[in-house]
Amino acid sequence: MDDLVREIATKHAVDPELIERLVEFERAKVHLQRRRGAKDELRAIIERRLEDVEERES
Amino acid sequence: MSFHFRSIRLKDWLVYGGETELRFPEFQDGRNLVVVNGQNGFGKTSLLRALEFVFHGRDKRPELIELWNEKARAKGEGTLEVALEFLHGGHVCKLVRGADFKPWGNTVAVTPWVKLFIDGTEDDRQVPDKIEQLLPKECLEFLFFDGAEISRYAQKHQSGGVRDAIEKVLGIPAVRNLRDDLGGLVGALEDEQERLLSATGNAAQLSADIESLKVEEETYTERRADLVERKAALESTKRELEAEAEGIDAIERERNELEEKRRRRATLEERHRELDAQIQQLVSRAPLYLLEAPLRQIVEQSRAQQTPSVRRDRQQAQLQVLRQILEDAKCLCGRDVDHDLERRLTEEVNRLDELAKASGARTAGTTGDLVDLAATVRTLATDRQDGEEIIDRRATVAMQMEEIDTDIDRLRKELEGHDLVSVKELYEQIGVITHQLRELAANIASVDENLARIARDREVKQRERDKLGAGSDQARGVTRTLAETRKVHAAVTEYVERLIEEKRAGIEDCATEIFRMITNKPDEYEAIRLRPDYTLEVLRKDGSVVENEKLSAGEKEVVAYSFITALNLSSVDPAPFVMDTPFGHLDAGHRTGLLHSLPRLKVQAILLATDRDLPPNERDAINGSIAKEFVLRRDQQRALTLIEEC
Repeated sequence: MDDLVREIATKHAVDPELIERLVEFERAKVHLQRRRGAKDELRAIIERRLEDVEERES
Repeated sequence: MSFHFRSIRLKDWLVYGGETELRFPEFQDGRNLVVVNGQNGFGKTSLLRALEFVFHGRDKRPELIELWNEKARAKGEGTLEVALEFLHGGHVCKLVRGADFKPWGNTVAVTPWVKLFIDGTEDDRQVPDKIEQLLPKECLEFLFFDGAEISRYAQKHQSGGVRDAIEKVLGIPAVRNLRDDLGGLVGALEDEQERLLSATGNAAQLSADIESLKVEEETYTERRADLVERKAALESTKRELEAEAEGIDAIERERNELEEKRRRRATLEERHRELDAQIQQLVSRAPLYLLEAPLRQIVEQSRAQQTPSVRRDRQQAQLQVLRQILEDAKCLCGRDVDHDLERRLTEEVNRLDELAKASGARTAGTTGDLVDLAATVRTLATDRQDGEEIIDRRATVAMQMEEIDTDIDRLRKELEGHDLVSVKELYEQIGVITHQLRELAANIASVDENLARIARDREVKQRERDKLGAGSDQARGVTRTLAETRKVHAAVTEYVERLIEEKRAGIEDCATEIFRMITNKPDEYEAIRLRPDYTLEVLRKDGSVVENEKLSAGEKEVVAYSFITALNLSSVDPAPFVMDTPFGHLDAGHRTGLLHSLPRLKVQAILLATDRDLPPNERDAINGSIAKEFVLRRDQQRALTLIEEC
């Protein structure tokens, strides 16, 4: 994993893997002229991550 | 190595008539070079164009007809095709692009097509987007480049298109999109939360407060952007003025040097005149010097001849002889002395008697005159200077004058066309700008303080509103997502800024390393600097910037090559590097340096070279890095080019 991502994620109390996942998602879309639904997909990724964390904690 | 070419097959493509294929070797560490040798007109650039075409070829009919092999074109029907097989992200990809040509009345109908196969299966959905993902169109120019055009990357200003392409190679747009999308998502979630909480407690008031803070934040953010832009513009102006002042400083130094040379020349001219006068004086006195020696000799002889005993004896002898003749009345020849002869002899005897009496005083007078004259000549001759030495000195002075004239001429030419802007005036302007920059920095700091205050206030209000959201499951869910999204957004915002800085620093370091390997002036040039707009600058050892215009065409090529290589190595997904005759303006030193830098690329590097680009001794130097070598052979009978392994 990118050291810079890890450092910044730690500073902002965010899971570095979540950032990596989001960047990966955007990379797959960057060449598209129209990125319809990108925000919804990002939200879904974040919510899925939160659910996973909740599951682990419970 | 995740991305490299395995083969390229050409069918009726430009000079490659019929079908021909080039199978690239598997990449081995340290042997990344593939050399394709070919003479001018044998198809090196056609090969480069085939690679460009297969990824991002255009569908325009006239262009496709132009690309179709001439011989095939003459038949009026057929297919043009370029097929590239490559490894990418662990997949075997095959990209085939071409066009079918069929007679249509008096003309030819053209049907372009493109096919993409991944791991042997055709993928026919959104093929252009997938190709763009594999290799963005804007990045092509950084990967497949023509040596003749390379130096344009070392331009003073990069166009917007080039800047976008550079950022694309670095993978920045994706992260920037993420930041913007997350910002949008935060806004959408806040709206949703507001809707869900509108009937709860003082949620409406909190939302209004947050909205007001947002508006204030936007105002400050805009103001900050404006200040930052003005600061950047002023900094740029300051840099330009400093460079100009430095240039004027140099001009003033040259002007002073010219004045000093002129003064020195005037002094030398004066000295030359003095020496000239001395030489003239010497020349005018030459007869004196010439006279001295013979005169001395005459004086000595005169003295010797005019001693009293010799003179008396001679006169007495003459008188005795004459008196004897008169007495004998007979001449020495035996003839009788007649009256006339007797008279003449008597006169002569009387004359000699007279002479004998007067000779003492007269001889003393003549010798005395000669002695005086010799003394005068000697006196004049004693202050004589060494003529040869003076002539030598005059020649030295003349030589120094010539040297100074050359310097004066050079300085005059260098100073031609420079106006007399006072450097003091420029430094005054720089002083004003420095003051303005300090004020702008203070304003930015003040805006930042306000933004930080707004962020704190917003956070407090948002927390209060988030607490209200604990009421319903839906509101709780939205609030939780919102809180997480805000954190991620803040993290990604910082990531974008840091990533750009990190990439830029990485490119600078890498480009500098390569540049210093290649440049002929490693003791003069220190580094390559990449400005925020991706413009390149060469820095001297003392940190000053080498003006772009002062770099030679060859040096610009080296700067551009170093940058492109560094960019490739900093890319998210380094792609093969194809160079068509990259040594246009390079001298032997630069060429050797560039060749030695190629194995460091760590990507497949394909070098399309003429015999002039890669002479045998230079080729031997990189022999250990060459994976495979090909040669383009021209079959002139069949008017087509074939690719053969060496």
